[in-house]
Amino acid sequence: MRTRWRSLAASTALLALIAAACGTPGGGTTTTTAAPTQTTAAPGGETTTTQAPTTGELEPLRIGVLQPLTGAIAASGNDAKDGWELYWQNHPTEIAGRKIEWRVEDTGGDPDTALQKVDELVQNFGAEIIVGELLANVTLALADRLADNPDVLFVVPIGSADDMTQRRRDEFPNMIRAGGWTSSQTSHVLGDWAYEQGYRKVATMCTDYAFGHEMCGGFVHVFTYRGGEVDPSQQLWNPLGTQDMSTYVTQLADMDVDAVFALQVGGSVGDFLTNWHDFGLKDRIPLLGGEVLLDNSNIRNLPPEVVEGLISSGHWTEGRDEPTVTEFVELVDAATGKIPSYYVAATWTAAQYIQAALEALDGDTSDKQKMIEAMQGFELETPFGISRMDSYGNPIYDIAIRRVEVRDDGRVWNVPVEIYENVDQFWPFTPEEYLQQPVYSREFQGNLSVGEPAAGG
Amino acid sequence: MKRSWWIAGWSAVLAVTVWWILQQMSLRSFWTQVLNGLSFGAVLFFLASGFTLIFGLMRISNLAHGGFYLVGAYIGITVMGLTGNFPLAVLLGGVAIALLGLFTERVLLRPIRGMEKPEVLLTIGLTFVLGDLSLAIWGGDPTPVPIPEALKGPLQIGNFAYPRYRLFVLICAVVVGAILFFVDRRTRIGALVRAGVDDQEMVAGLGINIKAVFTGVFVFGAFLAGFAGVIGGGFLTVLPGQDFEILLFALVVVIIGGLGSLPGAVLGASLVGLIDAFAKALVPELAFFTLFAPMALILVVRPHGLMGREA
Repeated sequence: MRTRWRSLAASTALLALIAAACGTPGGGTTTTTAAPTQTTAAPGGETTTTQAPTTGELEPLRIGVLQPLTGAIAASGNDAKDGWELYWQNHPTEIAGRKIEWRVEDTGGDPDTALQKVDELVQNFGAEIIVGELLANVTLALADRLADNPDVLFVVPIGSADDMTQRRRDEFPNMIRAGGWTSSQTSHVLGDWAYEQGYRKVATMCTDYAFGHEMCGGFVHVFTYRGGEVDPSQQLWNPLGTQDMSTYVTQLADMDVDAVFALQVGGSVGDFLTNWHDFGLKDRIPLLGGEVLLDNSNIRNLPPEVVEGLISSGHWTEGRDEPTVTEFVELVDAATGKIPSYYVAATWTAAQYIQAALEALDGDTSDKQKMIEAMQGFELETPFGISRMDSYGNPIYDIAIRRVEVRDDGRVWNVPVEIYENVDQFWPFTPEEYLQQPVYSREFQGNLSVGEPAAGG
Repeated sequence: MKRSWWIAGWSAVLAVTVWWILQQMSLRSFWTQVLNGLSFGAVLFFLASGFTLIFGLMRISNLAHGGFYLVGAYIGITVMGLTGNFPLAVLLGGVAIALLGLFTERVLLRPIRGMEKPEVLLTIGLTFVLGDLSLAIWGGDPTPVPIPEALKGPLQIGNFAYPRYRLFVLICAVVVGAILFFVDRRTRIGALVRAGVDDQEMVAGLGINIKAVFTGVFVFGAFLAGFAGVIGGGFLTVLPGQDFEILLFALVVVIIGGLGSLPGAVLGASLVGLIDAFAKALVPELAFFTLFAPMALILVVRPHGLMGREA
């Protein structure tokens, strides 16, 4: 009996570790957790797509795509894979005389697996371009590994850790965020919009890890810069993988604020929004969502009355009435039966950039810096609208304030309410001002309504 | 004498805790948080009571219990999508997992009966298999179990609003708990199970087919896990990875309450639910610490849990 007890206690401790490692869905985290379960959960699951044998004399261009196709965030990873594959199903796979060949590998959301797979892709498959990943910690691990290899171009369409194209830009000379974004980029805009609506005091409810800190910080910084107030005691932080959000929602209900900014990931999104509705707050307090809170992947399975009318900001707006967007949405819907999430749009756009660079350089991919330069010169019509690059390798988009609406077919999507044009990652500040302040963290939210004004204000 | 000292001590601790909490929040939020904690605890109770029954009788730590929960929830989603009939979804979720439990016990576990490590590894492996199969079948988008119209939205009593569904879950827990206690204390089956917990060889010696009792209890525990999945999925969004997270909570419940003890499962689930709710509200930074600290403390003071017995 005693040994049984001990083994149960040991199993519990093991599970605590597993849960901590598994429960990290969403845009990113900078903590690297060794997760043995993730690696065991991720065998097989790879897709090899080899085009017909090469006809020309030129070497094919080999591209390795790394996404989490199994594990807790597999749904988003598979969306990313869909976007990539749908692009090449609908575009020529021979550009400037070079065949495009690619392999999609599963990282299981684990940095160690990703590093192992990337070595294999570069050394054995001969990948010249790596496209990946979804989680910030995995993306950073890959960026570090590839930084020393000038023969590989690293394209980051999803992983959004701010500093990769900000304070740590110089560490990753061969990286570019084609089709990507920085976490705080879209919430900067929402901070401005909230102030314009007359909101003066806002509480926040964000997930307690790097991605949550950055999205929330972006909002708080610009909102307080405009003159709004955010009391640090009204900034609630919940751990990743929180099972029951009712406690937090109850607390928010008791706060005397004009609006609430929220960012959740994974299962906490549905929990939070359902509680928000069920406690009767949806009609009482305006809710402002960070981009992924109301991403189509998170809202498509929720009851429409829970999400209809909610506001967020985003570089991806599936209900935007522009030909490039509607064509893309219809194409993806026809192929997958789902209104696309931003993950689909992101890898699609990355593929678009790669095609454009290949055409511009007439198939010569030997110098990766030239590819980056070429990409920075483009102005592409993408599912995100017009996409240009700033000098740090991060896209400039028209970013929309979006509202969730129910379509005629009963499904939900985000439609634009207002559009902020040409928003870069530093908006509304200059890069010089902005980069003087530290990266957003739980301690530094850019909150100008309390304490010392930060640089950039 | 010693017992009354214990009771006095615990009551004092409880009184001080409640007093301290009331300094931090209004009476209204206090009661809301109590309900939040108890309704989350209700789901944990469904899960933990099955786990604790199986362990008490068979000495198997069925770590696939979280996987059972997850698959049950997905089956509930499918049935709701097809029929829109919530009671049917709850029933089928439970029955499907009961069949899965039957397979697990008869085919997978029986050859390794009594071998502790293979049992632990097999059940944990089964969780991974179930998790990846669910991902392949249902995809990984976070999805709640759809709930009937009548249970949606808040119930308004004066200026106090509380979600109807969570109240419904609480009532379910009371009903299920009452049934479990009745069966355990008042019926022949309950007597068999209790006798089996105390002395299996003696029971077998009396000419009772203890293996059939094992199977029955395992299947019933699995049924409760599937049932918990459908009910819990109504307010805890279903997604991959939840199998391990919810199992962890259930294990803490079982360890606090005492392995093999039904009253322990009730007490443990209520405590864990309440601690979780108030810790998130009062010391959010320590949310995980406040869950595991009481468990560690109880293991030190009462190694067999609050209601567990010395073996």
